[in-house]
Amino acid sequence: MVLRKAKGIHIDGRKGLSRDVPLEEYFHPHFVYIPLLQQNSPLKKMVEVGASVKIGQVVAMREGFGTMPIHASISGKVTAFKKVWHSSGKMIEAIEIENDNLNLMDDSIIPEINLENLTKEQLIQKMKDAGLSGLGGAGFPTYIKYQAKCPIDVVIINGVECEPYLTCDYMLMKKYPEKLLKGLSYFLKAANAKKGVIAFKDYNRPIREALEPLLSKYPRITLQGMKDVYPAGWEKFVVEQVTGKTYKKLPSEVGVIVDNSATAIAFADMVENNIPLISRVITITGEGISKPQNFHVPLGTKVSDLIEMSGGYRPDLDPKDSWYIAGGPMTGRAILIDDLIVNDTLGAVIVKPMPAPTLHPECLGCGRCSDVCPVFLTPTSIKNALDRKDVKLIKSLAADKCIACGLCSYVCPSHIEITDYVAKAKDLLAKGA
Amino acid sequence: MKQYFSKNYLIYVFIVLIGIVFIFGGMYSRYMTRQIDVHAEEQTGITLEAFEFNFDTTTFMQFPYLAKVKYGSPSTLGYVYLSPQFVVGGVVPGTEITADLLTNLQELVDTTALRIDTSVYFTEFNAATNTVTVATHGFHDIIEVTVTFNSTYSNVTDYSVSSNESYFFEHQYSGGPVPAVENYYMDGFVAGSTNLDAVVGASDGTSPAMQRIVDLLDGFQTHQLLSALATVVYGGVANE
Amino acid sequence: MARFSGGKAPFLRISDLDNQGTKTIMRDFMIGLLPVVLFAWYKNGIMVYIAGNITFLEMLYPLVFMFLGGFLSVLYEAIFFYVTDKEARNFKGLLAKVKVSYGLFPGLILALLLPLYTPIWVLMFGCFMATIVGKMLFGGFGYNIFNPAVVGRVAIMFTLLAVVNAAGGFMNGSEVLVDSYAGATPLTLFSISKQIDYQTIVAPYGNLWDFFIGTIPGSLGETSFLFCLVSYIWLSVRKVINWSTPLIYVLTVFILSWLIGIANGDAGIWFPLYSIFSGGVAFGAVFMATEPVTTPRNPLGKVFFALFIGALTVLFRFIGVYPEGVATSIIVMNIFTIPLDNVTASIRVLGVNKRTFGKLAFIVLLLVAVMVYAVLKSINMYSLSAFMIGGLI
Repeated sequence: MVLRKAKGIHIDGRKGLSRDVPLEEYFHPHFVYIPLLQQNSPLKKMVEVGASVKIGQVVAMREGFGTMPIHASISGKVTAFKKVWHSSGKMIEAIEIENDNLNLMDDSIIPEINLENLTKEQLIQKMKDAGLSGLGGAGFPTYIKYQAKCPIDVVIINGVECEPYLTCDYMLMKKYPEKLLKGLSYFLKAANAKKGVIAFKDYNRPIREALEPLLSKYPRITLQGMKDVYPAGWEKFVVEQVTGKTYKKLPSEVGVIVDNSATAIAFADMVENNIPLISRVITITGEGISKPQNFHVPLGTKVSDLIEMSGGYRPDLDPKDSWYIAGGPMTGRAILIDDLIVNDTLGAVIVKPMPAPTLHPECLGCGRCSDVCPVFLTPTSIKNALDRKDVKLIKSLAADKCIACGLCSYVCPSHIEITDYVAKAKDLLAKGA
Repeated sequence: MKQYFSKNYLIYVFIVLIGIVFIFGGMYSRYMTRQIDVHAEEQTGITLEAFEFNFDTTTFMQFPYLAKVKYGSPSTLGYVYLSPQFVVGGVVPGTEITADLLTNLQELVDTTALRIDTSVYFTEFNAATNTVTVATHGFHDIIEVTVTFNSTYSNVTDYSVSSNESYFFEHQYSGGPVPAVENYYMDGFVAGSTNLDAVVGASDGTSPAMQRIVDLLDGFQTHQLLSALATVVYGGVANE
Repeated sequence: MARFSGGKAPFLRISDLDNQGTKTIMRDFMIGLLPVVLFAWYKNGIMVYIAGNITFLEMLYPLVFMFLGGFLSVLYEAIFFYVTDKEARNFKGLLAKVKVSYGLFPGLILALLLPLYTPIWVLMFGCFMATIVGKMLFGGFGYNIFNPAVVGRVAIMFTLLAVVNAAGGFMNGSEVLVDSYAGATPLTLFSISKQIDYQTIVAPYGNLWDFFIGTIPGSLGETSFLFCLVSYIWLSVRKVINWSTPLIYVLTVFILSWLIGIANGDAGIWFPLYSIFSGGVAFGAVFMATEPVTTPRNPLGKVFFALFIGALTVLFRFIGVYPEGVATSIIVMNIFTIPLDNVTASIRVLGVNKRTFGKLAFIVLLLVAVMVYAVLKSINMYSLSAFMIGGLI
């Protein structure tokens, strides 16, 4: 039937692999590589080879849209500018910093004295100075969201983490509930919003148990449990479930700002101690890893160090028949060489063996892809229109609304790469329009 | 050769399979269809095969038609008299059918799709003179012909058209006055030919009517000739 | 540094797990056909054998017939692949191709649509039309436009109907003995007598329970509403078919028949019940209207498809000259599957706004027009009196 409120479907979470191992902190990698690319825009170098840097020192500058400084995550010396593999699948230039293991902090990192009287503008400036970008995977410059012209009612913290395998946000929320609430309250102030809501999956009882006792100190913040479906963490879905309202392009249209839970926790440190964005939690998991777990690491750490610390690959793993996935299994990217670096958008690295290839039949028209699509597309019609290069039809089928959640390929019984076809149709539409 | 066969054996497998299905299936279907009649016969005990004219001179005035039936086990051929209204009259000598089977037969006769031409019929018979009168409906009126045969039924000694029709009513006929058409057919019959062309202008009604009369007379004559040779003759065909 | 394999997101798929995927769907569909197949054998074979009206060999015939239908389809497909596809010249390649082409179903469903006494060579012809013409020539599995079983059935009905009837037609060994309907299936009786009277069209076969269970004359699979219902529940639970499509179709036929009954003077509920229990509506609803390849893909399209088939079935059955409305209506709607799919996909994703409202209005108006036409035209076509018109027997 016609549904106007997006429903998700339950998919196998596989979070048990990495959830029960305590979060390990690893703040002394030998080298880090600060990528000179953010959200497809190249960064300007602010240091030379041979320069000494301290933790939190500005080493690069993002210019243009979302202009803000990028900081060193360890202290040491800039040894080179190297090309490294990035989660976008491309090789990009990065600043290689060798760790001096002294953990010298930049002078700007001092506890904030004027905590109570910070104004909205000052808070937003802190976001900008700290180089805060969304840690949920998109890497959007957070301060831009708070400069929206529309009045904001609610700030929602997206702790849903609907992608299978990922447990980084879960571990962070469980370990630093107080920081989460503080970060949210600062967001509220920065947005001049009245209410704050923390959304997370209902079955994650440890999070509820960690947060609830502290709520009395934060009267404007409430908790909201979400059903265990995918894509519950999709921004529009979260907004619909929490406020009941739906929007066209940006949540600010309906007076809402959504931010990731890790972003909020990082912001708490930024406000109270002026620590910029220098670290994140990443989940190293998958059936191909011996001891999957979460790591709290400085940005730029080599993933191969972390994999080694997770016990390395399982002995029966054949890399030729396995995937090395940057991101979640539904929306991530398969990387060909296992030499990645941790950046602000990389939430997990999943190593898993490929399923055995079998001969699959053609599309049988079951319509399951249509049934599960959160934006109510009909992928089969889009694919047929694409085969005929019928741009007008693709437009009327609204292929541009696709959020690339991957559910259509997930449910397809004939193993058709339907998500890819819709993506191609989107490209065709963008070119033809 | 062997290599070719082992490489292409599949096509032969397919041909054989289709052949098997076709033959086996065909046989099975025929068996099923035949069984329908078997069951019908089992149910009623009797099957109606055909209707035939009764040309036996002692009974044909009362029972002008015969029902050719199969009855009993093993299946036996038999004949049953039928009145002009197709009511079962009795069995022909040599056929043994019980009364309740005859009731079943009546039902079969009433409901069957089989037919016989009832538009031409005998109206009179004189055993002493071997004279028989046949009638049918022509273009406008009844046409009646009386024929006298010799004692062995090998020849027609005389005929007369006792009732005829006016040629005015025959569409566009412009030949001689009636009974020209009737005489033309009867003369042909006497001469031994029974398959005559229709007369132009009298082809809608009178000619076909005369053809029917001639055919019936021919069957009648043939039956009498044959029964002189065989002992039991029904419907113009010697009993199998 | 190791080299890994490339791939496309998502990396988690249901079809990679065991017990999911197209193979499972087809297996569940086969199991769903079993109740109907078994009942067809029971009613036309075992029951008649027990009544002593046929021999043992005749009792096996329905089963053999249905099995042959499926077997022939697969065989034709194998031959087609062998002839047209270079990779399928050896046994292994052929087997792989045949396995994903799922050729069993057109033939088996076709066999279920045919009368009992259809000669085997007619079945061979029908399977040929269904599988080769109706499916393979369009491009094989997933590419056919028309429901293959219906194509085969229509081919037989239009060319060899006299042969089928001469070989025995619909009546099995027990039914041929019954006088009350004397060789007419329920819908044939209805179209001849043209009366909406319980005594005329239902009573000769028993009561409505007989229609529900399926002990009435008809094609092999079409008679039993009960067993189609059992299949429906199984297939819906296993998510092989969309549960709403058969429901909407049956309801549409039900309501429209009721309206036609009312329009002709009889508001009894027996008439719509009779309409949905007879003529293979249940079979068509569960197995043919839900056939995934030839019906629309998106939920809204499926709803409209079911509505249109319902309206067309009623139209063809009550107004048209064919005693069988289901097959013809499915063929007609198959033609419109693709455009209907595109239009409803557009409506569904964009919501009802200025652009899509026109399309939606057009479809709805067309649907309503067909329904209203069917009901109005039927007035005075049917009478209620108990006299036989034209003499049936």
